[in-house]
Amino acid sequence: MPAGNWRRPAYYSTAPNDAQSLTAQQAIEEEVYSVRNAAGLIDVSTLGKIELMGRDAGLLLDRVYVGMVSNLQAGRTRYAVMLDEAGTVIDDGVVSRIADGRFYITTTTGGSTAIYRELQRRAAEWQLDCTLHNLTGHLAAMNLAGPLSRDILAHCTDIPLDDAAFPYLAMREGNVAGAAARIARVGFVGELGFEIHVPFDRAQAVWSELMLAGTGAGLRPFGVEAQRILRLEKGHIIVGQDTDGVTNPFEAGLGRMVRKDKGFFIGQRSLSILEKRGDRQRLIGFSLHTPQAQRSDSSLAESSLAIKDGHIIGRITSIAHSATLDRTIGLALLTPDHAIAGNNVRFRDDAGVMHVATLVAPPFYDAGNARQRPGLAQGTGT
Amino acid sequence: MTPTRLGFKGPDAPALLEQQGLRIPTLPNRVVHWQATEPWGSGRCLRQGSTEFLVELDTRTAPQLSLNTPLPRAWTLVRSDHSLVLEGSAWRQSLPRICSFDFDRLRDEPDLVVMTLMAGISVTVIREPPGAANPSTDMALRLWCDASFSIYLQECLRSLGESR
Repeated sequence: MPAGNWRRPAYYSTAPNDAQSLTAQQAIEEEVYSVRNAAGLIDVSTLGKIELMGRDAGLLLDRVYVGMVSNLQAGRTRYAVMLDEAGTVIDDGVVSRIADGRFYITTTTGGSTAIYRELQRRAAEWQLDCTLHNLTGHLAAMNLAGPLSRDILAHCTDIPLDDAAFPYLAMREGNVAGAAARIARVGFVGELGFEIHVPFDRAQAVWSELMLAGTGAGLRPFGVEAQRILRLEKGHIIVGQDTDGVTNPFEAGLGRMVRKDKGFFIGQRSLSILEKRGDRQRLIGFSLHTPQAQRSDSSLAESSLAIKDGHIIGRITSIAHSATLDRTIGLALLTPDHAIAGNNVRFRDDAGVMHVATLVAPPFYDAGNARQRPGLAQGTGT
Repeated sequence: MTPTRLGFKGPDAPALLEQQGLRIPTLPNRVVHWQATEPWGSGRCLRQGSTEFLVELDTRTAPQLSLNTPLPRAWTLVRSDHSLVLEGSAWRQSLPRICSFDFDRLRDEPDLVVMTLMAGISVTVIREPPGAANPSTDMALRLWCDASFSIYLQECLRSLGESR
């Protein structure tokens, strides 16, 4: 399936060591099951990857993200959100501090080129001591996720992986399968996970060695479709899908990211106006409870409208059947007076059939983040 | 043999390389070719802009940079570019279909580093110096591109050759 300038696997139609081909739905469900119960490996190389170096690198990032980045300690990561001047969410990613004056960030796949150019332009405009290097095509990245991911990775690296040495949201540099690697312990899919970045020309060998190491543990590759379900269960948004051309961070449920007390950042002035004006829409989760709609072949889809008293009150931004939760879940942008957890809304499919859903505050899965930090708490699984 | 590629960037990058005893281009967008007798062996050093360098060595082993005198604003970077060499004479007629740069200019400026678009993707191009590795009398070009676009570029170049 297309992903920016590249193509990514939607799913893997044949299980490892299994000659029998699977239907798309079977393959996706098995991939989700593997990540939730064993481990999965996904190629995320299309993520934008930019390194920033220099005395003012942290300052530049503080000015382009809504949160504080310059106070990150070396070896730590933080989720970060970027706005345009109008206060609209335009990108998100993970910021890692490698050392003093040296940061490494990821961007969305579609935003990598534009964000790199924008950062270069801003660094020059603000006359900052910051050198940038676009590593998007130089580094490959893969995400090893699942409760057994740590055991599998331990076979391929000498980096200590226990919680004390490599806690949640930490970043480490070392060797993985003989390749120089940067590893971030982050989890878009909501499980214990390690995002591994290696030189592009070593990626195939690293992938193969990880797959080999995970053979006995049930490791299998997973594609974009499984990833979308997994992240949806966790309530993680996709910028550009769960946001539109006017969505601000408060509407997208990212208000907690905004550090109003820090210095200038792009979109700050607009946000102060938007906050006073109030939300025009709000992103919220929903769960369908019509039995026949609790199927992946439900005719509801992204952009299906929410209708009340004959008026449009919003639209679906993400929807998927979750085998883990045994129901169809999704995210929708609704007018604020209707976006209230516990309320019922009606979505209309293309055939005009109405489907009743209950609104839910995400995440749908592991609200306490215990799965991503198994050393701190025992996860319940849902 | 797979060459070793290294990137250097930052205001102090020229000084860092010169500290290693290396010959570097004095002007932006120029290349110098290193012989086997030079400190890092044979290869080439491209200056891409004023403070960015691509070093490609014809060996598998990356040199150990001296870290005794680290410079605060010079950084070594991963470079995983894909490289290829265009030889023969056919490309001169077909390349203009996917690239607007006139590579005949490299006859007069053989050390020029060209950064342009080819089939819609960014490429860096130099003239391959005549010599044992390039005995042809035709001008040969050495190209680098983002490795993730390498298959696409090679297919474009191949289809150009077939459609002549």
